[in-house]
Amino acid sequence: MDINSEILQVRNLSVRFGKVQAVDNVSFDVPRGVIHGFIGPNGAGKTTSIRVISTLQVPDSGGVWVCGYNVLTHPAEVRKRLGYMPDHVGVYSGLSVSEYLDFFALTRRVYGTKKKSVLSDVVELTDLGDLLDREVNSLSKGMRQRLCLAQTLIHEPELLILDEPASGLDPRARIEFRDLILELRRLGKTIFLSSHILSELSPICDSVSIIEKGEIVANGTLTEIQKKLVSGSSTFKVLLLQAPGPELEKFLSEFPHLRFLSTEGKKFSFEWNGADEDVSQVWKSLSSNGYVLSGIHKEEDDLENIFMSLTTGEVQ
Amino acid sequence: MNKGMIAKFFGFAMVQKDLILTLKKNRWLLIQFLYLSIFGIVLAFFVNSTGLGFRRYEDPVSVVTENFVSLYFSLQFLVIGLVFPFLSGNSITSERIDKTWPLLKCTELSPFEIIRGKYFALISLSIYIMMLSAPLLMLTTLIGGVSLFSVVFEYLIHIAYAALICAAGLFSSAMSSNATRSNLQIVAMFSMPVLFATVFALNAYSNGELLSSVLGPSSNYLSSKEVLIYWFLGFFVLVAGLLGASFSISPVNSLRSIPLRIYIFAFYLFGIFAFFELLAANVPGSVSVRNYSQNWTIYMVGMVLSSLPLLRIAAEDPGVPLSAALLTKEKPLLGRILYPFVSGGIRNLLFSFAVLSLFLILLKVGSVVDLSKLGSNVDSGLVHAVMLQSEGSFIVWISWLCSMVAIAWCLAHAGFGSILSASVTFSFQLVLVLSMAIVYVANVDAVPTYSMFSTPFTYFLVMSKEVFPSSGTTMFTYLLSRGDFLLNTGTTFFFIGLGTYFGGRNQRPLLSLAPESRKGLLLDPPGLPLQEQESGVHLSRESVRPNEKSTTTGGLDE
Repeated sequence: MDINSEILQVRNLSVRFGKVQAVDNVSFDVPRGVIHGFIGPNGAGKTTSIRVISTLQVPDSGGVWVCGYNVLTHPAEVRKRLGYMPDHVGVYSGLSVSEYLDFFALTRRVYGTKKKSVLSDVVELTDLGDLLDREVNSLSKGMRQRLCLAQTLIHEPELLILDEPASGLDPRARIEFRDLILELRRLGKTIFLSSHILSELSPICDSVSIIEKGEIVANGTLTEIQKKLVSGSSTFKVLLLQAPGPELEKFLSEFPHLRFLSTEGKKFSFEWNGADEDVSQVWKSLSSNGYVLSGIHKEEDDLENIFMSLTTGEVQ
Repeated sequence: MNKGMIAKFFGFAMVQKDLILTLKKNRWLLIQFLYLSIFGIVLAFFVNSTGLGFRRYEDPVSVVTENFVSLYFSLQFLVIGLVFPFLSGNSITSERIDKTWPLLKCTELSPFEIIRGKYFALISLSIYIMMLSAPLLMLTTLIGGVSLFSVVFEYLIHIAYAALICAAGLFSSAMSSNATRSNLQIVAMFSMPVLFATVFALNAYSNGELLSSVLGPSSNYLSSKEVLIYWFLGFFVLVAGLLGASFSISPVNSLRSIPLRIYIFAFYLFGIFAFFELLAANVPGSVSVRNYSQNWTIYMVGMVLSSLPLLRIAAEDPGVPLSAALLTKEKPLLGRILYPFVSGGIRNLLFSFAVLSLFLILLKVGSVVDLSKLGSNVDSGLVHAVMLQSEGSFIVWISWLCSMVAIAWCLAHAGFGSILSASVTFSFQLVLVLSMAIVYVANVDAVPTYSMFSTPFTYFLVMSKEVFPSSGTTMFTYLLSRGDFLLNTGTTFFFIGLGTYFGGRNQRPLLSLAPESRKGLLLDPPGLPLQEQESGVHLSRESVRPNEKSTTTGGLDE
């Protein structure tokens, strides 16, 4: 079995539920050791795709490989290498935290002294040490998420699939959980993270796939997507000391790479298609023609803007 | 056998988890309280009714002990029938409701291991609850009247009863996605057999007997061979429950059909030989024509029910499971050996036919029966005629089941779901049976019992002709005179043809083990990473098909 550098490979994946095409011909790769965001609105097909990757669902067509193993033909091998945390974390409410972890250690064939050391490492990493004797049903949502993450780590998987891990968490728990994910990446794990809370993903994701209505609309690193999306153009917002007159638009139209966008009081904006260093010519001309520049802001496309540009918000 | 293997065999992880969860629940405390209350109430009522301890009782001590033990066991039998169907019937459903099921399925536990673990946990609980009263009950044996062995054997029978219920309950639970469905299914599945078993047990207990005197090695009613057969049948039913449950939770692309089909084949074979033995042993000398005929009627009723799993198998997904296709590719010899037991294509139909054809063994019963041993007041000519007539209608019956199986198979190939195809066919069969039952009730004197289990054609034929052929008539000439046999055979061939046509049109595999029905699935590892193939980021709604040539269904078709 070939172990590719790509830890997760998805090719032409399609899943249909009756008349609804939940996932339509989806393809993407996830390299080792990165945090890959899987972004899409509710009902876009994220969870269905994740269920196929996690060997819980048989696709209608296409294929998925985890560490080079096909999820259909070698599900047992895939499960050994994969830790899955579903969107709705189910816990055995009668068990204590230590019993819960002990159970999942046994289901992962971790016995004896190895079990002890692995559980102690996992507990330390997820900071569950003080909660070991607590009953699972007495834990807060954030603690349960950490507990579920802990159980996915017991067998030392190479790939972690986390489906909406931050949903329903308070800001503090979100930050703690984000730090935990970054720590896991530092330890060499690959993390495949689905979410529709973009502010959670943008600071930590190395690459993303954006899915809408079952189709991948963008795939790659944030920088790559940004470049591709805006086709080399940048938007500038300028604040003048005094509100400009209608002659400003005529004046700016003389620049070949500039497209005037709008004015609003003392502010105006334009799109620049030329090289970034050439835009200084615009500032010089404006100054020499009596316009006093009070401030300049270049708009960067963050994940939210990219997401909004690429998706229509429609669900199936 | 190392620790890991033992843990794996007993599903130790599941046993441990389920026991902790159940024993911690208030419900379990309530069950224990209920159980001990019953014990206390029995004791109190018994002491009161016999006057034990207040005045001298009339009966000898041994009789009092016997009655007490019988009364206690009859109540315990009732409690098992009430508690364990619901305890086992929610075992897997509760995992689904609590959303822990996906986590469990993502672990390294196989479906059968999950079922085994849950099963052993349930058995442990049943033994635990029964053992609560055991010490006190054992003490009663010191008084006399009941032997220690019979009490121990009685416990064993009760544990076996709980084991059977738990296996069937797990099966029901594995098939249900929510609690309501599970509970309804449990009531539907358990009411009849539990009622039957309870009436049977209470009948024995009310006569001051223990079940061990009926089903034990020194049974008062059954020969040792018959006892063995009953225990074997019980064991088979138990295994069926566990295998069925594993089947229900296994992924569709797995080899789940193979063990179940092998088991079903063995089960039918065993059942037929068991009946063969019992019938043949019972007929000579001891019975009348009426008994012989009744045996056949009971058997035919059994066949109505037995057709249900066969219809389900015939109507299974026509596609070949992916794992089966891979097995054939990687281990051709094993693939060839297991070929008849792999689901998909014409094998679904042929397997059902093969099981039905096993019933033909029963036609040999006639040659085993020694007519000379019949009593002098029995007309041996008439017995022979009844045998021929029964056997003839039996073949017609099989032909009818074959036609039903062919209809189910055809519907599945036409694109209906497997459960829908089986249900529609079974409903059709039930409507016919009910119609004929009404006809039978209306003409009870003129029509033999079996006619209610045959096609309407039989009715008209039976009404218009002499019911029994003469003793000189061979079975086959009799069969040929039966229009419904021809009708059923014609129907069978018609639906096989139609199913084949639909299969061809929908590109279903008929004979091969190649996964044609899953043509779109990519199996070989993709060559280059997506980025390299696409030279940069992919940013369009139209997905790319990387390395399409090398990522078709792999070498499976070759």
